This record gives sequence, C-alpha cells and structure tokens, in this order.
Amino acid sequence: MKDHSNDDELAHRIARPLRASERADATFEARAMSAVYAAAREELVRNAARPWWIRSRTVRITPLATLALAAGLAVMVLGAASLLNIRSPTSAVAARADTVHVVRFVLVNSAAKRVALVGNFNQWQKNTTLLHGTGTAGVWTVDVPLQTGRHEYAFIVYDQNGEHWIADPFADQVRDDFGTESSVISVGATGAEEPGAGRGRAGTTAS
Amino acid sequence: MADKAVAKGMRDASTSDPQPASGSPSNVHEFSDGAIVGQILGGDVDAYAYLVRRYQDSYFRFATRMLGNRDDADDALQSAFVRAFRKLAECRDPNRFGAWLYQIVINECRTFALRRDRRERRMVREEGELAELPSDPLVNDSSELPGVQRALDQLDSDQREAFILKYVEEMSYEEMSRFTGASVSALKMRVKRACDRLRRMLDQTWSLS
Repeated sequence: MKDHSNDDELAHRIARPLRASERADATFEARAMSAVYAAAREELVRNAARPWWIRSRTVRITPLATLALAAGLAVMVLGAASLLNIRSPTSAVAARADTVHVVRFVLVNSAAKRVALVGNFNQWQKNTTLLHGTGTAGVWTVDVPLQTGRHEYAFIVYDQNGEHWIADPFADQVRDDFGTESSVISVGATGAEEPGAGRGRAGTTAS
Repeated sequence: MADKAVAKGMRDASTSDPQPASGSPSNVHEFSDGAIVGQILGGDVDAYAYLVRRYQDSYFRFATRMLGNRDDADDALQSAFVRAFRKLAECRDPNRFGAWLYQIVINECRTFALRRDRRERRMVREEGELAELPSDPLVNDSSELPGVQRALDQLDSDQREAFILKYVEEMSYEEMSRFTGASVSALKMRVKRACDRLRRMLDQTWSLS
C-alpha cells in the first residue's frame, strides 16, 4: 500500500474540526449513576437468589453468636497453643462485643507480594490478619469482624523493596506521637459505616 | 488517548506516600483509577461517579464522532459505563481502567451503529449528501464540522472508526490495534479507504487537489 503524504495532509485537514471538544450533557453523570445503581440493585437481587454457599458474604454477628464463636475459637486456639507451646495474642477479642460487624478492607497495590492488616483490633500484630488477592490484579481484600466503635488501622505491604507501612488513602487519618499515620474507621452505632455511604471510606465497607 | 488520560496526573495510591483523604469529590484527582476501582469492588458504588466524571467528556467526543449526533452518543456512552460497572471485577489492571473502558466504549458504539443502521437503512446516496455540504467550509473549524461530520457518517463504520482513532484521537496504528483487535495492516487499509472516500465526497466543495 502506497503512503500518500497528500492523504495524510487531507486527513489532518478533515480531522481538525472533528477534534473540537465535546462535553457530555450536564445531567450525564447523574443519569449514568442512576443506571449504575439500578444495575447494582439487580446484582443484589440476583445474588440473593443464589444458594447461600456461593453468595457474597454479608454477615452480622449477634452477641450470643459472638460469644459462642469466641468460645469455640478459644478452645481451638488453646488446643493449638498447648500443642505448639505458644500463647495466642488475640484470644480475648469479642468478649465485650455488643454486635460485631464484618468489615471488608480493600487495598489496591500492584507491586505487593503480600499485604497484612494491622490495627487496635489485632493488637497491631502484622502476622495476624493477611489480605488475599481477589483475582483482579493488585486488589487485596480481607473481611474482619469488628465491634461497634472506632478503630485505627493500617496496611503493611511487602514488595520487592521490603515492607512498607501504608495508611488507607481513602480513610480519615490520625498521627501518633511518633508521627506515624494510621487510618480510622467508625463501625456500627456511629452510623458512619454502611456500604456506599462514606465517600471518605474507600478502603473499607462494613455490613 | 486513553493511555494518556489514564496517566494524566493520577497519583497511584499504591505508592507508600498516601495523602490524607477528606472524602470530598474534588479530592478524587488525588487517587488512581486502581484505588477507585478497589473502593467500588469493596462495595462503595458511589465511587463509580468519580470514574464517570473522569472519562465522560473525552469519550463523549469519540462517541459523537462515531455516531454522528449527541443523543446517540449519550445513549451509547451511558450503556458503556453501565456495562463497565457490571464487568468491573473482570478489569485485569484497575490502574488502566480508562484504557479498558475505552475498549468497551468502542464496542458499544459499534453495536449501537450496527443496530441503528439496520433500523434506518440509509436511502441517500453520496451525491445527495454532497449537495448538503457547506459551500465554503474553510472559514473556521466550527463551520466545517457539520459538513465533515456528514461526510464521515457516509463511511462504513469500520472505516469511520479507524479514521477517528487515527486522526481525531491521534493514536498510533499499534494502539489502534490493541483497542480494536484488528491488525495494523487492516487498519491502514481502512484509513486509506476512508481518506479516499472522504476526498471524493469533499473534493468539489473543498477544491481539494
């Protein structure tokens, strides 16, 4: 195929007016989001129609169930600890729970080889709560049962350059006495954490 | 274009230097597509509005040129955004959401044009269209646009798409190939044929030599 420079000039001449910017209608975003919300609702309905064992998890644990679960876990942990001669650092979690909410923590980091969640709810232990890949490159999540109230947390990302402390870029931040930044999530009774309710709570959702 | 849009000033939240987030919509520019996609996949549907706002205008131009009018472009783009939302978990590289969305927009415009063409078979021949082209279209760009758009509308959709991607969106043939799935040689042929037809249509009115 011959390359005609005249064709190229003509093409540029024709394209010039076509390059004029076009702005979508002022209502476009609202209409698009309305359609998106409808799609999300359809997905919820479809999801609800699935058998429970393949549904997305939305778990709310009552105090009684929490105590039963904690007791069961304690038996397992103590059993394992006695076998391995170790002490569990988190055995007392949930003992004072009113209601426990399952909060999904999400971090996007394409360089990470491993991601851990640390917070006051796991005594800032970096080997206790690991995020897992979702199948979508770079997206890491973990669901954590949290008591009603305010919690501080951060992610620890392990990549080829070592380990990095990362506050959730979408959540409110606090700084400790040493200048280290962590993130804050308010769960349950404060009403701050419901899916989609908080624009500033990008990394987490609670149920 | 999509790659440029994706790269344009979007801070990657995967870096180890996150900034405090106030949660206000204006702060969305602080976050990469990947970070926003992560938020949506975590259950925050509201966050999708940030992506709509980020891409609606740049992709609206492509849709308008492809479909020839704003109403159809609006419909096609709405449909593309909803489709992208439904398939968001399948986006392999959330940090390149814009490029992924662009492929969906291209496909949506193709489908839309196909359905419309089937519905409304064009009865007007090129000669008939020529009479409607502006007699002095080179006064300024805005006066040229309607005539050029009408000429563009007469092209086969694959030729029109190739011409727009090459000369309006100013992509390389390699980029075009990635977005359309067509080979570089096929795309060059489509652009060549598009130029030939546009030349024939505009020759008399534009005094092209």
